[in-house]
Amino acid sequence: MTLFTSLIVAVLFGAGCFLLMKRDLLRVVAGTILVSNALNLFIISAGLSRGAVPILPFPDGELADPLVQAMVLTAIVITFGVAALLLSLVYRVYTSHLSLDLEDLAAAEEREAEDDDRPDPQADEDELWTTGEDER
Amino acid sequence: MTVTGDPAIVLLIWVLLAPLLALGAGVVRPRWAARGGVVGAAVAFLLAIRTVGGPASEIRLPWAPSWGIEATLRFDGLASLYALLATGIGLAVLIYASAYMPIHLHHEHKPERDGVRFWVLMTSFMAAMVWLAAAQDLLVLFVAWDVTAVASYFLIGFDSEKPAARRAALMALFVTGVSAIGILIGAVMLRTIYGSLEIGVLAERVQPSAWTTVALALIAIGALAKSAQVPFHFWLPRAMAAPTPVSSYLHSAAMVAAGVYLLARVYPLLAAAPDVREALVVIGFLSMMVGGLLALGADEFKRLLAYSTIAQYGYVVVMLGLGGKYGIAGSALYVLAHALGKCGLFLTAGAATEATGEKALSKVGGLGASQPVLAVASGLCAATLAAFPLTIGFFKDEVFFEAAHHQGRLVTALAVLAAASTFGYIARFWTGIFLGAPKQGAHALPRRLVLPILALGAIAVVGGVKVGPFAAIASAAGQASSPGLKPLTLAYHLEASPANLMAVAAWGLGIAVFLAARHGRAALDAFAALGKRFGPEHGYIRVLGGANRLSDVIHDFEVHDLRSRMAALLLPAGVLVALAVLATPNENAWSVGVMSMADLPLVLAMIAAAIVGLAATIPRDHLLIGLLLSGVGYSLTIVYALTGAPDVALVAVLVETLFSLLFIGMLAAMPPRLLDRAAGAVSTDIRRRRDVGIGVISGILGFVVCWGALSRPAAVESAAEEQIAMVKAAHAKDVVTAILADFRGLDTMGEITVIGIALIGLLALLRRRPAR
Amino acid sequence: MIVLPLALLWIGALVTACLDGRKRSTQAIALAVLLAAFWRVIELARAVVRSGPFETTAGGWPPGIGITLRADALGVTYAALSLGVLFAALAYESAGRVRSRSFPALVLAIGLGLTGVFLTADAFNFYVFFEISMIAAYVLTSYGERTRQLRSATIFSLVNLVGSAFFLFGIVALYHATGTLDMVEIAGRLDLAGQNSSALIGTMIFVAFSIKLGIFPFHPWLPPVYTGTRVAVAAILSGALANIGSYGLLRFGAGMMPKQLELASPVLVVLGVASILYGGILAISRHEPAEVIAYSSIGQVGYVLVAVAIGGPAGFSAAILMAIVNALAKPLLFMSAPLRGWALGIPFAVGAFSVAGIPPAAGFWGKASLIDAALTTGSSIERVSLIVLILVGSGLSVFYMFQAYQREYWEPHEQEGRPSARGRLAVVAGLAVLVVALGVWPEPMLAAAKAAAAVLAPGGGS
Repeated sequence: MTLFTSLIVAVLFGAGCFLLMKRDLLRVVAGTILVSNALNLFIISAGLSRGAVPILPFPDGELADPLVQAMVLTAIVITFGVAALLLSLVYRVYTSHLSLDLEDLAAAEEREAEDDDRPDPQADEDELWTTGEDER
Repeated sequence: MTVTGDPAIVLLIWVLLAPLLALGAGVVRPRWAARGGVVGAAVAFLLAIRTVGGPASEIRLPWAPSWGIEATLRFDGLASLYALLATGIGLAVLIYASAYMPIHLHHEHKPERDGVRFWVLMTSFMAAMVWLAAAQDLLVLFVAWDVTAVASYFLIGFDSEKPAARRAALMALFVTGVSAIGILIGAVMLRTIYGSLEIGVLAERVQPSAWTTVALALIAIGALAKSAQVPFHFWLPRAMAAPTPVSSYLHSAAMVAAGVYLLARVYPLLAAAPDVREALVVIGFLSMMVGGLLALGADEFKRLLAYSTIAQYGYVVVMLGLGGKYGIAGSALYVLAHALGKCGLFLTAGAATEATGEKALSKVGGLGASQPVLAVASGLCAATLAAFPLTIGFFKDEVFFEAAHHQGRLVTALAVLAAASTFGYIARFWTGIFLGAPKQGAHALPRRLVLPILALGAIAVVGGVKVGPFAAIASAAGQASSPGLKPLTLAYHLEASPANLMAVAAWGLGIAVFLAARHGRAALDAFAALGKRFGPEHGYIRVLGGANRLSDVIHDFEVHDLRSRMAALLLPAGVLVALAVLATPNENAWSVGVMSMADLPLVLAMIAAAIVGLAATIPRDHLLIGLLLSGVGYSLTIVYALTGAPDVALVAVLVETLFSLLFIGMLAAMPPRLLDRAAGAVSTDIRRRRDVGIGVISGILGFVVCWGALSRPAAVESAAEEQIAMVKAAHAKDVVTAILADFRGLDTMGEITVIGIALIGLLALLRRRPAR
Repeated sequence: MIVLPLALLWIGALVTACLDGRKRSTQAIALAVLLAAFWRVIELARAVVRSGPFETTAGGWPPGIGITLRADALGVTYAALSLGVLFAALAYESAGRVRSRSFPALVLAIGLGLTGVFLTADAFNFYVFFEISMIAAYVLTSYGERTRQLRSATIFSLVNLVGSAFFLFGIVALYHATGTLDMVEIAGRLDLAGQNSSALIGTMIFVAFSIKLGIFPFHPWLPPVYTGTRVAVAAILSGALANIGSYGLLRFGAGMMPKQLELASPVLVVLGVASILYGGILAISRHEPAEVIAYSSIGQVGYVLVAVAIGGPAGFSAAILMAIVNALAKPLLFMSAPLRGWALGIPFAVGAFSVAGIPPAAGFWGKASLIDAALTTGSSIERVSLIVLILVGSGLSVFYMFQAYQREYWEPHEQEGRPSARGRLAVVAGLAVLVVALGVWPEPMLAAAKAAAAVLAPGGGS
């Protein structure tokens, strides 16, 4: 079971990471969801015991590890919060730039920077690194 | 804290107040900053005089008790000498500056307010020098040392709108600041080996060893860089971009003098590192030669003087390297005499420029006719540097010759040659400015630009006539470096002693050098050009310019898009995991686990999750991706249900549904055209193969860590079992509920907080309508 | 006693979240709450100094069942430092104009998360507090909501999401390997776990914290985020949030997995050296001060990593000192860089001197302790190469900091802009004075670092 679970976790994680490599931000968010699903599966599999539902009255035999269940619950909720936030961030990117590609934003940023009309950086350098004599 | 002796502590505190005095006065009225500075220096000078000859007063402060460091300051002979220089020369320079700076500011079209900075920095510089002089442990010394570097950085860059000033300031800070880290390293090394930072204690414990030599060499390098010795000398000529009073102070009594001060201070330790002392002699002579040749060829006043400073401190370094009575106490006398003369000549350079508007020897001449007082005052200073009898400078060369002639013919010859070149360039400087035909008009100078020079020259003459007190100060300084040293006894002896013969030879040769320099300009210029082409300054510019270019090149290579940033996380993580697997024993580390028929539903649910997850990477349509994602979620919900976790399954269904709704809702809010374009960018993606590769590598990474982690469950009683046992005490039926609500309620609180914060962000971000 | 600062911050965050953060009164409440929490942490620190670390288990359950909070010298040092930086950043932003309703509440939430992280003794609880501070930071990074901020928030949250996933994996795997979530118990039981699995767990946790710190090669997210977000947020990220990274390396690495840390120390040294050189070289030719500072912080955390790898009382103490001086200098630099007005070069210069390790700014104590630690290493080659590294690193930092300083403050600029708000000047001046004061009188910082290092490596040392 250990090996099998690991394989499933790996498939989900790999698929998620593949999506993380996309330019399309919605796919990237989908990737994070798959990654956290992989993680949740790992957490529930990391229980130190397997068995019945840990609710009173306890049946004979082993109980399922309740602590990992508590952890996975917390993790699910936290991941949900983060994912929702991420989605809204993507939506915000869309509302201000009508784009789902972060590189479009980088381009927009460069345009903004150019508008600032800063002094040519190259000029500074030449000024600092010439061997020329000091003005007399 | 223990204090013995009072003048010292008053001085140490007063110098700290002096910058505040200048600042306070300057805030009230910018013009008053000068008065504040001059008063500060004058009082400090009087206090410094009081420390001379008295019992060595000592101050110990618990500074960093956790590190067992006590700050120790003591006014011994060496401290008194340098404190006298810092405050006395400082006073002369500041009086001069009180007339010079207003003219300078006017000239540079700067407001009067800018001058306040000058006065605060100069007095801070003075304070740092006084503290440095009194420092008896290497850490206090290091701090004071770097404060002088900081002050000089801002002073050299005072006219910061000039590129030359900026370049010079950065160069000075770089050379002296980085070499100072060497001092810190050396200090910490000595502390690690000998358990103390106090020089007196170290002197008793220090033993020759490789590490000791390295430590002392690092300290010596720091000192040599500060004293502008070859090959670190290049920063000093640049530093003359500062206003003249700054150059004057820097060259004669502060900054550059600090280097040789440090060598004298750690002199007792150098006994354990004879190699370092020998290196000092070599470097000193080299500096004399390089500085001398460059000074003989230089045209600008200040440049000539800057090169001469390199050479003159070369003398001092040689003398400290040679050691003995004439070497150690002699070096102290040399520093004293040099400070008087060099300061006077720098101030002369400033005054001459002020009078004529010119900066170079080739442009001026015959100033003696129009400025006779300046000519005489400056002549006295020049005579001191050129070692004329009846000036204290005569004795500075005599002690040098005394120290040198015992060391064999080579050293003797080099010493005479060096003295001759000193004579040559000083003569060039003075005759070039004051003699010959006037080449330009000159206007009258304010008295405060001349009187300080006259005072310095007069002191030099007094020292030449009555050398006793000066020799006593130098002897006391020498005894601080080397206890038990016999005092210097100096007088004029009309006899054919080796020192006298060497002096006569030096004058004769000096005149020859002076005349030769006039006609040998081509050779000297060639030497200067050679230095420019291959010298250390060229190296400095090449290295730092190269660093700038390298930086640009690497930056161009750096990842610039989001996915490369993500890849930059996953790939190195994969490499580290592989390293971890390789570095640890793999036997019995991996377990396959058991799988029974009862697990079949679970297995199927997991396989379903994996297949749906893989499928989610394929479609072009976002809606389909969203649906497949919830498919993964619901498959996992089944997994939770089958592993005895109904609570988890319930919450997962809820969360999954909520998220799917959110995702789909967001899709609905976006125009299809945009979504299609985003999807199109994916399908035409030429880097698809790379993405698959990263996905596969990440999958392997996930597999390895997951399998490795799951293979070895804890064999002891787990916290979960304890919690199951305690569940009744929590008055709950469901253990998971008990954990969430009770045992680990803090986690649940935190979880709710996370959701709350996400909500805040959500509301803020979703408020906006799309731009049109 | 331990719960009090947490409760204060939690309630404060809740209250300010309901109020309009653009109003002065809300900002004042938030500042007061931060100050009170800071003061409580200082009281806590005093108590720790007086009578050693103490702990309390939430809900009165036996340790192991409930969540244990523990205050020791390491935790309170980091908590005090982070709360102080948050206070400065919030004061700075309040002195200008706060542009969003939620800003003060989010700062308090970060404070809550960080304080919790530093004071908990439970690994999973650490994760929860960690997420509180992270999610608040995600929202804060987008503060301002211009293109730059949106882009940096997206990068920041996506990258750190992966980092958090690695970290959570590590925590759960630790539970699986030891059967407990209590940090002390984990440390005790880890010997029984497989070497292989603990090495893997250690790797994942190390990667998670390296991402947080921005260590080479996990750094590419850092420059666009630090330069893109608003200065007050950059100050929070670099001065407060980044502390999680160094604290985590110390707590999990040195405190819980010392054997794995030792095993990994060559890797740590290599990565640390790479960070120092990479950050230093890239900082040189950057033109925006914020960019220089961002790359510089990649270099500076390299020192922390090297110090952690050296280990022992000297190494850990150096790492903590480095973290402290960084956490003060970076916000100072970020916040002073955009200010305009008279004498504004001075605070920036103080920060630059601190980074370059030049007294009287506090940074040189970090460097001195690192040299001290380097000299405790075994072989001569190691010592010499570490010393050369420190020299080269110092050279780089002097060069890039002052090249940037001169470009910003000395070269004539055409438009001066209007002078900045007085309150901002006051905050920056206060930080600058603090940095110089700690340089001249380093005892509080040195004592804290020493005591904190003693938590991790009991025994002597300097």
